[in-house]
Amino acid sequence: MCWGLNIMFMEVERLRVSFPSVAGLLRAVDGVSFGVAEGEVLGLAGESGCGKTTTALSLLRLVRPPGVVEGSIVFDGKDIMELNDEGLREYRWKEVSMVFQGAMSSLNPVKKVGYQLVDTILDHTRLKRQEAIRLAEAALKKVRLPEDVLERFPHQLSGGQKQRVVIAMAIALNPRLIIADEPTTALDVLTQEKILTLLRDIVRSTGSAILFISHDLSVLAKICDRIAVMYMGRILEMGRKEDVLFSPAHPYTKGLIDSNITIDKRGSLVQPVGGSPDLVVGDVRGCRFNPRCAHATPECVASEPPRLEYRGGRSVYCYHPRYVENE
Amino acid sequence: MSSPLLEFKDVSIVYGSKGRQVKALDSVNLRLDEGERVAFVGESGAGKTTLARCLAGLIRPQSGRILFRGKDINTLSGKALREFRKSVQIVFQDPYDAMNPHQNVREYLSIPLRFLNGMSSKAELDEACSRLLEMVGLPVELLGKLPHQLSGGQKQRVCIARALASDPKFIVADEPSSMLDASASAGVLNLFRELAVTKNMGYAVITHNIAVAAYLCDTIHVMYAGKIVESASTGNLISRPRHPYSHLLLKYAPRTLSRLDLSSSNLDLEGDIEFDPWKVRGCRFRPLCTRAVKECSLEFPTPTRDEDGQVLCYNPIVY
Repeated sequence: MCWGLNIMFMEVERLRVSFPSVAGLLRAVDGVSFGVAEGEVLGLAGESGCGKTTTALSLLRLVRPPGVVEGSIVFDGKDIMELNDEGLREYRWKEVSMVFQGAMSSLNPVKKVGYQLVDTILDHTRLKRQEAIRLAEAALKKVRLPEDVLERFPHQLSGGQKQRVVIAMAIALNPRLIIADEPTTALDVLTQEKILTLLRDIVRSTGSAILFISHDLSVLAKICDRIAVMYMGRILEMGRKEDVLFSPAHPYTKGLIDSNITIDKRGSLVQPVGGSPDLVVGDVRGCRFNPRCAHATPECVASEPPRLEYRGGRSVYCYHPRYVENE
Repeated sequence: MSSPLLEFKDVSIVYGSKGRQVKALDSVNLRLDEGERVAFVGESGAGKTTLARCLAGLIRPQSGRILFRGKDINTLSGKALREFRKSVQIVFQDPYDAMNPHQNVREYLSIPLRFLNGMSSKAELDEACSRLLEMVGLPVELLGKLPHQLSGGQKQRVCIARALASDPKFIVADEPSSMLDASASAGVLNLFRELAVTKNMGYAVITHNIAVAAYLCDTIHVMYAGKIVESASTGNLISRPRHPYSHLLLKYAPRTLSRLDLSSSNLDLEGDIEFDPWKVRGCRFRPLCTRAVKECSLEFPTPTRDEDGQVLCYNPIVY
């Protein structure tokens, strides 16, 4: 399947999010472009602080001042950057919803689950209370929770159940895009596997797309169609998951894959990517990854690497990709 | 046989009230020898952290005894207690929470140096702090930094440095890498492997990730609902898991990807009902088990032991 031909209903161009700081203008996201196609799962990978969550928040226009968002976000032909309050209310949750990171703590501990679910639905629709309750029940059914969960408080649920409640909240209004920010990170392997299967089923049955944020490549491998690898506010490599994971072209992608500890690596020594990322302050020259890159040359320091196009709609920003495709 | 470094004899810890009692540790027997590299693996709520805290002497068992070189640690006092604290140290799960936000790295590292090692002069402390940072692969310049100026990986290394201050024989590490991302995590785990060799030190790693356990340890104990359900050498456990729960954990363990794995995640969600293992009679794993037999619903199995390890199951997988 060629993603280039698929219709992207969400298009992000040169997205940049900056925050003023003592050191200067801090660029959490610095020129990110991508699209999301109908019904696909797009993974956003990268280390903590690389701008994954900020990218997600700007799609919902949730970045607050003094943060400044620039670039364009177009959803179904609508310019999201131009929406007014009423427009945003219609757009948020009904078109694009989000499962926030740390679902465990995003529920209100003193309100029953049912109240929180129904309240969210009422906030974004003009439904009557009874109809909202019916929608909430239907959503719980989709995440395989019993209806009586509505009557319970968050502390009466297990971690996996709370995660399901938050997912139910996100799918209740049947949005076209669900942003899931590290939805499995705090969970143990079995619960993680269940949540992934559940999200996969939801994509299949409702046709919603998912923007799945995680630093865990083995999780992304299980659920995504495409993967974008972010580093210091930029996407360095993006393409079909099998291309990105099996023949990573960017040295950073390769480093991330190699530093993953897996059950079959017990006899060997796993090599982490040396060093750590910096904050992006002001304008950056050259490739952001060059201080940590084993292949860096003077040109990597001097100027921004070119965008290389590979088969299958993959794009890579690097002077020294790990292999060169002959087309 | 000389007495082991640490020994658990029928240790139980119960949380909760009359309504719902959770046996975080349910008559656990265990023996850890000096220099042993062992892992405790299981899902959230299996009792792993409670076990870690018992190992480090931070909580007292309600019944049973924990022995340090043959002596009950609850009876230790004075010099003997200090000796125990010096020998067994703990690294907590969340480096973001473990450090005092107002204390810089030097102050943080000085505490065990002063109280356990009896250092007092500034020059002596400075030198010891620098040496500790070097040991965990951090630059000496970090000594004056506050926690918020450090990355997650750096914080965890500082916590490890603190644990190393008293030159321990054994470190208990509670999920040392679960809060870190892949690259930082691999660095911290490699550090543990390195320290075991250079400092001739043993460790117990608590983790829900069996791949991390296999990477770091020679022996793996699998925990489920307060019981150690299987103990075996790492090689045996990952190639021939005998308890159905060990088998399940391994099935979903992260592995190096092959093209076959891409369409995975085929868990059957039909039987996916969350249950409370503490309300299950007999073996608490029974509702999830595909190998359950009649006895399983009557009573918890007793451990069977052979040269390959120990398993708590009426119907273990046979190879």
